[in-house]
Amino acid sequence: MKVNMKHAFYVGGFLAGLCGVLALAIAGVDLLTKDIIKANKLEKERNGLKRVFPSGEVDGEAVEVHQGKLEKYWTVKESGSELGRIYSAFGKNSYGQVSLLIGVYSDFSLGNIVVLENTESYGQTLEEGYLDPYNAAEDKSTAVLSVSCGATYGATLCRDMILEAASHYQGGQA
Amino acid sequence: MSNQERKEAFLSPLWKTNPLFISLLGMCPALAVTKTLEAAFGMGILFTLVLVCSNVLISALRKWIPEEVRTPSYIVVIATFVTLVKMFAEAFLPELYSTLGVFVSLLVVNCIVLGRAEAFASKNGVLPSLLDGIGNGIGYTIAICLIAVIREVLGSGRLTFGATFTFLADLNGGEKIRVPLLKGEGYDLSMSFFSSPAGGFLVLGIVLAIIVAVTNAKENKKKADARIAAKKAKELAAANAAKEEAK
Repeated sequence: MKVNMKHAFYVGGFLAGLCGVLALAIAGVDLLTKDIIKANKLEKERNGLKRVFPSGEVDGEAVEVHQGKLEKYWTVKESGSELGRIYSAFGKNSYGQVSLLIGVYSDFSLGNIVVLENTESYGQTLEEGYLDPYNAAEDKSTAVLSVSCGATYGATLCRDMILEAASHYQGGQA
Repeated sequence: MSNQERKEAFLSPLWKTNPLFISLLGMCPALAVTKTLEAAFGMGILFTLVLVCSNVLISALRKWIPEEVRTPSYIVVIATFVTLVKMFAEAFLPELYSTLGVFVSLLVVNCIVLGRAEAFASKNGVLPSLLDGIGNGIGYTIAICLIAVIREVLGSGRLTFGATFTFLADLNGGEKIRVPLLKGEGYDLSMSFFSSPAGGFLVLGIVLAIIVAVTNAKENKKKADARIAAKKAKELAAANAAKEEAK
């Protein structure tokens, strides 16, 4: 079969041109929206911090961690004494990504958890060997550190993030 | 294309060739985002934007798109508009964006969008393609909103506004607007099953069954009317023939 070089160049050129123009459009809109998106995320984070420990006050700036799934933490105080920490954690797997604010009390028990972002698709495969999250929730002290809390990959990811936060605090790591 | 055909391109997808109820396309988001009316309406808006923009651009480029790379070109155009719509939604409607999650990105492979590009926009001018996009977008939005209303009312017992479109809650003094229907003070007739994906399948099945039954009944009535009219015409012709003969 004889290759029509002129036509081949036309096809390649058309695709390259189309992709170039559309990439410019994406770059333009990104430039326009990225600051707004960043501000939205910060606003959501600020609102989330209030919901994790409603009775406490966030003390000072966040401490950067960047260890495993943990990104940073805030120390929360109530009446002058340390109430606990709020960890910001981010994790992803093949099914999407999850961003959490995890509250851990100073006695290393679990406080409220706020989901900032969840793009996990529905889980398709069940992991065997995990305890029922509802039964586990009855005993909070064991549910916090030693109990798996879900059946799907998304729930497993959340569990890992929570365990990392709790063990980071428990390990006394600054 | 005549004005009548343009009108048909816009009006037909609203009901007669509705992409969800008649063509049975775009079923995945129709089941996934119809738990609440607000989410379904939001999805409908984003879907319409993507469909209209991709239809218009593909129609405008139809004479230059080489036959060999037709489908890749459509996919690139659709993916671009999905990305743009996603960015705008994340910036200006963050609650809607987080409610819809991965289903906004999945619009790239939505068979209605690709189907309209292939079947209509690639063969028609910009204006008819625009009308076709708007018609199909509105038709799809109506369809998913209908399923969402049924699921939300049956599943949660009430309609809630302001959770996804937060400006509605702001207008109501920061409180979500709740319309109690099956759930209120002292009574709760809601069935949470309808909020689950299985409930979505059931509602869609029932709605489709009703539509098929109504359509069949209409067609049967038309056929019966045509038969009666033919019979009457035959009798009239026979009577006229008898009169002629008597003369």
